[in-house]
Amino acid sequence: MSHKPYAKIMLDLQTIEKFAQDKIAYFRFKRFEDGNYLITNEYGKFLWLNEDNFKNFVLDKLDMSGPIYKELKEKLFILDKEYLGRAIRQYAQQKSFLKFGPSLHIVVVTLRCNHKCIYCHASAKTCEDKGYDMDMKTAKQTVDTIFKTTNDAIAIEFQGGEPLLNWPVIEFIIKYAKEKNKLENKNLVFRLVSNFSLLDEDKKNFLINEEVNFCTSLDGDEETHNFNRIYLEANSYQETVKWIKNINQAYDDKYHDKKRNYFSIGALITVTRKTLGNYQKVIDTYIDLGFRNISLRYLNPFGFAADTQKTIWYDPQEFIEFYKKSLDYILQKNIDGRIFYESQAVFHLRKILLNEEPNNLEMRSPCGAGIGQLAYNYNGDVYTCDEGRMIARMGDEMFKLGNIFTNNFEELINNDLCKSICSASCTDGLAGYNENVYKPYLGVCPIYNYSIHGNIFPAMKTSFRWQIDEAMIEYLFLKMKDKKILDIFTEWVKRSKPPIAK
Amino acid sequence: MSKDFNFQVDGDKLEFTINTKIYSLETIYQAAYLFLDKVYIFLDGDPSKEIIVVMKIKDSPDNNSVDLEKIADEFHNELLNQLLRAKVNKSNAKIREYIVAQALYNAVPNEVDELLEEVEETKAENWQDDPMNIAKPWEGDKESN
Repeated sequence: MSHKPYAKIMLDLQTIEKFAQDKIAYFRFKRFEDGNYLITNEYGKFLWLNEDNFKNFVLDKLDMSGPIYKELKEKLFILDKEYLGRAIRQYAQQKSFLKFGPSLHIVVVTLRCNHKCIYCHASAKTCEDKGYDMDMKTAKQTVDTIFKTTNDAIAIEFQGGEPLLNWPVIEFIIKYAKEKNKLENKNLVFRLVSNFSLLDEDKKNFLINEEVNFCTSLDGDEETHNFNRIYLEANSYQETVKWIKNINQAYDDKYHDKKRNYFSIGALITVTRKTLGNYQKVIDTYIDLGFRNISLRYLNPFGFAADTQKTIWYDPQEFIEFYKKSLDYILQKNIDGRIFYESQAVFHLRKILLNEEPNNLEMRSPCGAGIGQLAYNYNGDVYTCDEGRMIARMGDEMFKLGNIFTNNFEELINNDLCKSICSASCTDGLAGYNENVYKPYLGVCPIYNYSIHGNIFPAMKTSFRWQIDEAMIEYLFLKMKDKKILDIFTEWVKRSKPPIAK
Repeated sequence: MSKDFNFQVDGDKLEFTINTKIYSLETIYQAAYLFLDKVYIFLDGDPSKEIIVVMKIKDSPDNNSVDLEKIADEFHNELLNQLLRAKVNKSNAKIREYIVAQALYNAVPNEVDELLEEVEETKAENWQDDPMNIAKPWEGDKESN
């Protein structure tokens, strides 16, 4: 068979041969169906060029006094005398997080839980199971280990199971860490990730007085939430919403200044197959409860059985369609005057618009496992990250760094496992990433790759996660071509919390 | 008038050749990588003349609508993309390495001109020279023994 070459061809061979190699700095590009090109560079800068401008850019034939050339120069696409110094500074700033060490410390105070969520990532034990609570000795040693970090910022996040099932240890860790911090003088914050069902007024008041941030799981409207989050003793949705309102009221009563904006309840949604069709109701629930944002996260393949997977799982294309519809719905709310943002978009937008590595450690390159976060299990075992200890709950100790009683801090960090995870999540060295126009904005989770593909180094094109991330980022770029949407995104970035952890 | 593009489709298989005088092996590999999710790819031939590309549709429900003729077209477009990317990569390789090294070692320069000179010197030194044959594949030695 034979036919004429594909009509919509990009640059011809002659043009490529004449590429102005001494004038044009490193860039990545993608040609879109409409003939426009998106170009990006190492520093997260981007520009749209039409076909003629792209060709003239490649040949260095753009009018040097024109606005496009000036923008290219400003955004580090042109090799001029200022390029090297500016590029080094920009890159150093972007990667400054590498110098600091772990700031996020996830403390699993118990593996027991009073919910039986269908997607349970943590493979929780029932309330009756004994021997899965952190004891005081381990709690003290955990705090001592945490304070060995080289980072000036420490965020201690209580997780489980349901952490409130081991309240005495939570109370102890907060008091002991604060006492210890009188000498250490770190930027210390606490976060409780809880379903709130075991909260009471005394506990709530203690946590608010100690300035502990609250984070809960809210999977959307009552039907969707209770489908995903099974709680036999009461209505999970109603319990969670009751405490969201209660805590918000307590914040309103306590804070009347800017600090009120700082203290808000974080809520996490886990998108299952059930969520896909209910996206409007889910988003409306968040808005009605006064949340400023929603985080439309895809499922992590940790912790649930294969038969459950069929009920809740989806393929990348299904999630991408859901995400696009949801983002459009949220954008319309913003156009109608309600500022409400989608957090996964904001994580990407902070990279795209601010050239800032996000606080979401799995979106960094390299990822935060080990070098940005550590997870401490109830028995003192330490893992690269929360995902690493979830894999351990499934019987695979691949991502265990050591134990707080047998390893010092240096041994926990300076080891082959930690280095391997860094290598596997550094997108500069991964097949397929270097040529991808979205490379500056993509992150990699080696543990995710391990659980899906059996290898911490992914085959990018076949990765579920990569397909979704790339589609999400591309959709943001296409949306941003509309000035009105760009303004909304800029406002989202401004309103989203600046990173606490370095 | 552009030359016709020849290829063969046989059931779920597609075959065509690529002239290696125009497209380097690296370019062909990188273009091939981008089709891994849709097809199995087999490369053969004489790298000094032409590479034979055979593609076989993956047995997956998502791949029912894979159009092999379109893939052949897209592959050739992707070769051009990769050719340009290879040129951009090559011309910027040293400067990129230099930027990363300087940035990560915190040595932000005061005098940009000085650094540019240094890069030029590095270029002249041609660091890719291999006087001790360190980069030489040992398999080659084995064969010659």
